[in-house]
Amino acid sequence: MSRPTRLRRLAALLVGAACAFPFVYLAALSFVGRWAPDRLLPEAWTAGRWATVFMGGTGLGVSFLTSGAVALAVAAVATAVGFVAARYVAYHRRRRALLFLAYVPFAMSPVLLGVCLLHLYLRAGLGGTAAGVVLAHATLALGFAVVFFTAFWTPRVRAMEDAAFTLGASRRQVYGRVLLPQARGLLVIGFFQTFLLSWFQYGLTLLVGGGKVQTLPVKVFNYLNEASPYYAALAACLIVIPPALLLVVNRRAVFRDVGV
Amino acid sequence: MAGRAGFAVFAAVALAPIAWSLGYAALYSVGLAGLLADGFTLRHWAKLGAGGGLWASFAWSAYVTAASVGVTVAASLALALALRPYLARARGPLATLLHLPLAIPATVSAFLVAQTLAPFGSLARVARAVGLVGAGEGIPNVVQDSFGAGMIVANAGLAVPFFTLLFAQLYERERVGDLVRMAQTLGASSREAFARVTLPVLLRRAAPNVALLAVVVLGSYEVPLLLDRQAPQMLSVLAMRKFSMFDVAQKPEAFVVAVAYTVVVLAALAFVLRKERRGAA
Repeated sequence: MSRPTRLRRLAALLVGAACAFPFVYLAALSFVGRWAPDRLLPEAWTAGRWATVFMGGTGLGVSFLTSGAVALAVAAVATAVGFVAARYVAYHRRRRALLFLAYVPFAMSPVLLGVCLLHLYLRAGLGGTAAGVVLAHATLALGFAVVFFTAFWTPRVRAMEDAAFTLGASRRQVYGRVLLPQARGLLVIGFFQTFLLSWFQYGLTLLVGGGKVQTLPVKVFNYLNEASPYYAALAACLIVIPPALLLVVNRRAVFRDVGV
Repeated sequence: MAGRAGFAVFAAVALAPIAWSLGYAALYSVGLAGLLADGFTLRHWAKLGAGGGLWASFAWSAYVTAASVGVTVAASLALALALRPYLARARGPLATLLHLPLAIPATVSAFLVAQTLAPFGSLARVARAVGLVGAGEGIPNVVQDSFGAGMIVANAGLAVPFFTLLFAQLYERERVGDLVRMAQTLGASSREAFARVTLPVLLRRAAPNVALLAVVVLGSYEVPLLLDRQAPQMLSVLAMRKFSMFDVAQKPEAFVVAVAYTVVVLAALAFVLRKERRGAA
């Protein structure tokens, strides 16, 4: 392995700083009180905006909870359904065709998908509802989950299932004592990644939610449209800080080899 | 049994609505469904194709995608190779820091670029403070510019950390260092070893992720919504604009964009999967 030179050390420092910059910048921007265009640094700071999150003045607290509830529901459904659906795909004789179908929702642009789906959702009475947003996000997340979990269902896992059945285990026991413990790490990662798919989603939420379901990404754009960059920074902080903390605390639990 | 039920739920929640709504979009685009349904017509396709900006949008989207992917891959490769000592086994403070941008969505990335790189953004404040530009002047515009520089920075900013970790990990997993040493023992120069060993091994292994990045950028909405110029627009923004207009006559054109995009992406996906299967065989 090559040894760090001074230039490499400098490059590493710069890259590290660049990765941390968005978090520091957004946090600082959310505390700006007054910042004239010709000044390098803000002239005044305020914690008032953050206080409104907890007082309920701006609706950001509600948006945080809405985003969290929607993303948790999507992740729970996508992980549970995706895990077992992936088994069907992996062991099917037309595996590749089914895998292609699983890629379809994931490959589509969320906004174009929303444009196409909206009519159906409106007819079903799901437009402008949180349930509709969960279902629309799940459309994307399920495709991802099926593709993601297909890698788990290998011939080795099938041999373990067969061995457990041969030894008299019921289907429930096979899942509870063999498959789920084996897949625990992968399930956590799948849950986290489908959670993020929903947590970050803007276009699909805007279309299906019709502006009534105000998740955090929707709030960011609302504030930008109102030319309120400091509130947008505050909403952005609320989006990025929870997953960033999770990644720092235990990135191995939430992020397998990046090559997946 | 559970697997079949799971797949049935997946089909009911995801595949069936997509199939139904794509069918509806296709019918809407040829005048057989929706508010303007008055019999089969290709005029919406012809209108958008002739002067409505479909091909310009496709070309612009393809350019932004290619540039974003190219910059991402080049920068990530350079960083992964240069910073290998700090990224061994994805441990250490730098690896931890490189994981952080994974928590940043496209919405926030676009917002950051707009705030920092706009003519009167934060970078302009620094430039004024150090005397690079005069009082009341801005820096050259890279947001909503004719080269899509702001969008490329926003996309690459999101993807470079991930791909740096990916390439560093692949370098270890594929034992590229050993392969390079072997090539050099057999007489290859450093440049030849890089071009014929390091690059092909890493790029081939990272190809599915690169393809995925291309799909994500091609269909992205938040970044061009904030950072793209008015015309031509990227496909998602064009479709959304046509769809949201008060003039209902524009709506079929939104479906034209959606159908055209879907056909192109699914054809590309089928091609990539088929190629992968041939590669695996």
